[in-house]
Amino acid sequence: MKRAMYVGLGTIAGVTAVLGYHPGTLFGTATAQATTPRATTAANGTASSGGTFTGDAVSTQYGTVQVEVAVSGGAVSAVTALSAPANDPHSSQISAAVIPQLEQQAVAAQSARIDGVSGASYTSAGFEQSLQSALVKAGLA
Amino acid sequence: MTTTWSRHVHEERVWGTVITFDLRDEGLDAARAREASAAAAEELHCIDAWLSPFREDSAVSLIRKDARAQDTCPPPVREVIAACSSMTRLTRGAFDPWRAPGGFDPSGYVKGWGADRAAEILVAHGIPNVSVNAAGDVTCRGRAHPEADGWRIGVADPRDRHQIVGSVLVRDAHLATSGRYEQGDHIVDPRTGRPVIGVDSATVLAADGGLADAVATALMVDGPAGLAHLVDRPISAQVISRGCAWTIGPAFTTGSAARAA
Repeated sequence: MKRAMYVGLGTIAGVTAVLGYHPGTLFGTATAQATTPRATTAANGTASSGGTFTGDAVSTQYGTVQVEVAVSGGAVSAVTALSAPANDPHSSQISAAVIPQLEQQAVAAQSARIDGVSGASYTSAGFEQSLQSALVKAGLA
Repeated sequence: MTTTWSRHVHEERVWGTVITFDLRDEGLDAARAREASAAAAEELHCIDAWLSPFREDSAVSLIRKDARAQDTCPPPVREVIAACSSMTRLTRGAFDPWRAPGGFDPSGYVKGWGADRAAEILVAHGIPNVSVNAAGDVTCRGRAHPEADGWRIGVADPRDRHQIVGSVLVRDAHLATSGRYEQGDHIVDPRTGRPVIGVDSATVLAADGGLADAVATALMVDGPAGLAHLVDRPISAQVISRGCAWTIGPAFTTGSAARAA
């Protein structure tokens, strides 16, 4: 059955192409990214009052990824990509697929802080890291 | 939460999907984390070379051509074959790699088994807190945060895998979820060769990754009825069928202390 693991994950393999892996590719690594540019925009609100919170810009070899979360009434209301790999049409297409996933996962995860998901599709660690830092700034993580 | 550990995330494209290593520790050494990740990634590529049904030169492909090749395979392949036999017995034939369409296909065991092997290598490199997520089948060792009891892993909603239906605390164990979203609508009962209606998803927590993976696969075929003969086993499981959740074991009933016995 888990032939699906090889053949059924075409879309997931597609998503991974966003940041286009090859064996050994490494990014989204907090400990290894001393050069990661920090977000220049600070939080302009608080979790209780709401506002927008900008995540760290995370360098990947395919470009910089950075997300912003909008918080309303103490809950995430939207996740926006401020920066995503878009050097070619394929990357743009994939980024477009990742962002809605992130938004839904952020909304799902905020009520039960989780460290991973079983049975879920794949989300780029670069985006996830930027999202996480935005949630921390918002006081939601 | 006042303290956080350093974190190192590695993503490896292998097995036709992406495997993520998440390494955490106080003052995690980046060079060591990279070295550990490279070694674990190499193991995943070896497993692919041995066991992928989609590589002409893999042991699995040789076995498909001639079953006698089972006796001459490298030891890890024989280990997988032996484990698959015992999984077929445990699941009373609901998991049976020898009756897969197209010939012998141990993939339903290998993903969990391989995640365990990768985690072992990471831990052997001196990193005690790791998770290995093989496209949704997760092996966890140690804990995710200094004050945590393990790793809290969400279970994807079978009707919308971008949402979660709940979460399970996993420590030194493996959480495998099999779902219709992953397999499509063509679930075949290996005992009859006929399609079954199947369920929406099956999630299994067990100390052994290969076992969790194989049992989750079997429960997709057997549905809630398949839980009955697993009650005395040291596993927790949840089957979601038509919007109802059927469970055994403590992980899904108490919502805490979900460590596999």
